[in-house]
Amino acid sequence: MSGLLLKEFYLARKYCRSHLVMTVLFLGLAMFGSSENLFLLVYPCALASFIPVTLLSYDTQSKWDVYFDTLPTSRAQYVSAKYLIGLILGELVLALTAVTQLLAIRLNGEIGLRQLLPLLCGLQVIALVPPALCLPLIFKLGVEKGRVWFLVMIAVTFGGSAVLALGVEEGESFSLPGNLSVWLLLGAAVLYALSWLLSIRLYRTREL
Amino acid sequence: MNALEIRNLTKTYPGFRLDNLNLTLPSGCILGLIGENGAGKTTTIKLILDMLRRDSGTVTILGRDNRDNLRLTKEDVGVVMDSVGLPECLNARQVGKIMARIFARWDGKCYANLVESLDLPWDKTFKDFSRGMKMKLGIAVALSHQPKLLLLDEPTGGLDPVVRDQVVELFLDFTRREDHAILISSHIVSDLEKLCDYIAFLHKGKLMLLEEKDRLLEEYGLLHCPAEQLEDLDPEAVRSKKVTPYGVEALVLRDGVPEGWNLSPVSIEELFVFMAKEAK
Repeated sequence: MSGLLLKEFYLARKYCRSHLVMTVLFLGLAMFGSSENLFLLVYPCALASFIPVTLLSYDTQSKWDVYFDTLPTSRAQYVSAKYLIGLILGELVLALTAVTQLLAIRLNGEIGLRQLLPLLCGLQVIALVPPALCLPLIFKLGVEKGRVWFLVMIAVTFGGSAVLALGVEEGESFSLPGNLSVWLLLGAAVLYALSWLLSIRLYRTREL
Repeated sequence: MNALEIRNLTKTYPGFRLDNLNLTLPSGCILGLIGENGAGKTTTIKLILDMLRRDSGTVTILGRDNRDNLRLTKEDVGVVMDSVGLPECLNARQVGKIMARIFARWDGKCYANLVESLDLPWDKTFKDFSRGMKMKLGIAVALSHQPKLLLLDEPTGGLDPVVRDQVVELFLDFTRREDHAILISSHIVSDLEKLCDYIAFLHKGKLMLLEEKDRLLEEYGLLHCPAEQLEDLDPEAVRSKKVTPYGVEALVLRDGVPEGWNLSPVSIEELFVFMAKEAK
């Protein structure tokens, strides 16, 4: 498993560099800019959530997915490496978001700590739900055939966050009721776990 | 213990059927799988590794059913497919680090020696490798985890003659140990003639022949004669024939030809071409 994760890191380091630049840029703008610009906070999380699909498409292109099957590893491990790398990188982005928002609170004081937690819960949901919905279909059908669903997920994620951002009134910041955000987060976590298991089941029977 | 046993292996696709394949590869031997494009060579190798779902039959690798803890079995199997599927952004050094964490018996020193002896750069990305270099890196990986069985699908394709010779030597060296074996498929029949103990001809999913190479070369010969002379021969002795403007060229069983008839030696390639024609 560690070999597969190492490979995912190498690929992410090579192909997702621009994601890191965008993340730093957007979080920096969010830190020094207006606190109600939700899109600046959502975008890095959404980008991170699509990394597993990006890495899957590189695997298909290089035929690693076929070569991998000749190694002493299992398809369950292949699937798990994708989910884990998505989780790890998503949490890194979320941690970066939390740090920059805490700094923003000290600098600007426009949102309080009480709003920060539901915000982070909401961002975590955004990091978890799109890949949870996308990945099983892509593991079942392949990247080419699953691409349409992937594009739908991108549209829904960014469209949804744009709608939410528009709903935030001037001078206020986005917030969810505390309990709701926790329940949403739990639901997203369960969805991610179920998606993981489903992907393993679907990929096991796929002929390459 | 045989390195590989395949019994009644069948796989059907629309328009193609690998039909009841039976094959045995004894330990310490090299079996060459020859077949035209689409004959089923890659399908056979994928079925051995359970990468495809077989319709029926059994596959035993090193005494173990290939569906029984295949992960463990793959530790003992080195595989080179016709396209080496390593990620394009990786270099040889990074590939070594990844494989060291995948294979339980990864031998870093052996890998380093092979990379050096095959003249591969350590820090160039796989994307910038030539086809031959990619194949060499795939071979280096396959040989660096102390495998007992090598499954090679067109491993010498794209290699220049000097490197092909070097690689063939590596494979011959591999089978000096009695518990090692190789199944190799290739279009470059001259490499198979140099390497193999056994030859299997696959044609449109059917195994036409499986025989010791030396016995094949002793058993068969090529007869060049006028058409009328061929009619004097027992039809059972004639496996296939080709009519040319200068007469007939026939693949014959030496035992079925009367003494005094002039037979030329036949190469494995000629043997296969004649048999494939006959099968059509």
